[in-house]
Amino acid sequence: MITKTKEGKKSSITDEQLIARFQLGDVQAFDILVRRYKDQLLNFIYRFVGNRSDAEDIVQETFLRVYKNKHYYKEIAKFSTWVYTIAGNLAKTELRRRKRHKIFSVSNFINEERDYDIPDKEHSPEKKVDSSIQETIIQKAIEKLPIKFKEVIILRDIQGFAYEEISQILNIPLGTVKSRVNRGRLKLQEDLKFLYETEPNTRP
Amino acid sequence: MIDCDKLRTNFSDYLDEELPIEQRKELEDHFSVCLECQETIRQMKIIQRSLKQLPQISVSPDFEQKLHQQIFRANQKTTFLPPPFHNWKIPAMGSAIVLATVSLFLVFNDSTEDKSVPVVPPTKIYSPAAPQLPGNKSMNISTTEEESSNSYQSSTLVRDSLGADSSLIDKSGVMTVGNK
Repeated sequence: MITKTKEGKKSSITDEQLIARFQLGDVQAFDILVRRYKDQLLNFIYRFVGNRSDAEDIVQETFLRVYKNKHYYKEIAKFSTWVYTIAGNLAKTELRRRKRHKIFSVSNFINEERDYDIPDKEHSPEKKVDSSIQETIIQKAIEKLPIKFKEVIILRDIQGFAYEEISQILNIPLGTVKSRVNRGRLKLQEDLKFLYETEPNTRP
Repeated sequence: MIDCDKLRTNFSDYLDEELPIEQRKELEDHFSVCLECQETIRQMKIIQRSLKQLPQISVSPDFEQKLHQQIFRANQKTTFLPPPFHNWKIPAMGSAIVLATVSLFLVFNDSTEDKSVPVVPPTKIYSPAAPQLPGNKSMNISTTEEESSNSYQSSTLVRDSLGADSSLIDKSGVMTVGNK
């Protein structure tokens, strides 16, 4: 199944209305929010920590915190901002914990079972393998980025958030977000140039 | 000559098409002469597209079931176990009860001794020269001293005290001595 960020929200009821209902005790509203956000949060965390199992645990913990701390949500912020802030902080804590314990998730990534679909259905099986290798290389490059660049690149270029919302999620100024996105993109280009380099005489 | 590093700060805005027209034109003019920057921006475009096309994963089928179990366990913990802030209250209450009991015992014990003096006035009192003895005697002594300061039968007390025997005070206290 392909789940795309920001898609699938066809219901007329907003996230903010749902969390308000949940704050009044409607547990079904919480379940709807879980269904809306579980996959996009998983993808966000997965790109962050590079390990599917850890990512799913962090998403579980995120929703558990939402459940237990529902009254801390104030309508001044979007629900997505609040839930992504919680998830992002948990992911950063996990990365710091790994750093302390010297666990390198990059080595785990290759052996990890992947049960997702490749989005481009026109790919031939050979191309599918190629894109799978390419994806592994890109994922490694993302993981190599310093956390401050990694979080903005994932939110902007993978999850498709607006700069303003990234600024709110990370609680940093808009200018800092833009600057970090630029530096993160340049760093990725530097690390991945071997993948996309063309011979000088074949350039347009 | 235009500084490439300075222009690179605008690459992101260029990719996002958020650059004002003048700056956009300036960059494109630069790309036409600087092959390195041209190649960099080309690769950045590909990478940006690749990131958008990364395959999406979905949570495992039992995700919601696991979450409900976690929530149930968390609720159970809150409902059936004493919250952390209650932990200190139980021993504190126990200590308070013990302290209160001991205090009450001491107060009542003391007041009993106080009452004995006026009911049966002592005929003898300990000699100030007598050795200090442990136990209730010290309380009796202080009581007797207080009473003596009130000139209560002071002449009798002084007279009796002359014949007081410290060993008698030690064994039976002031009351016994007085009765004898």
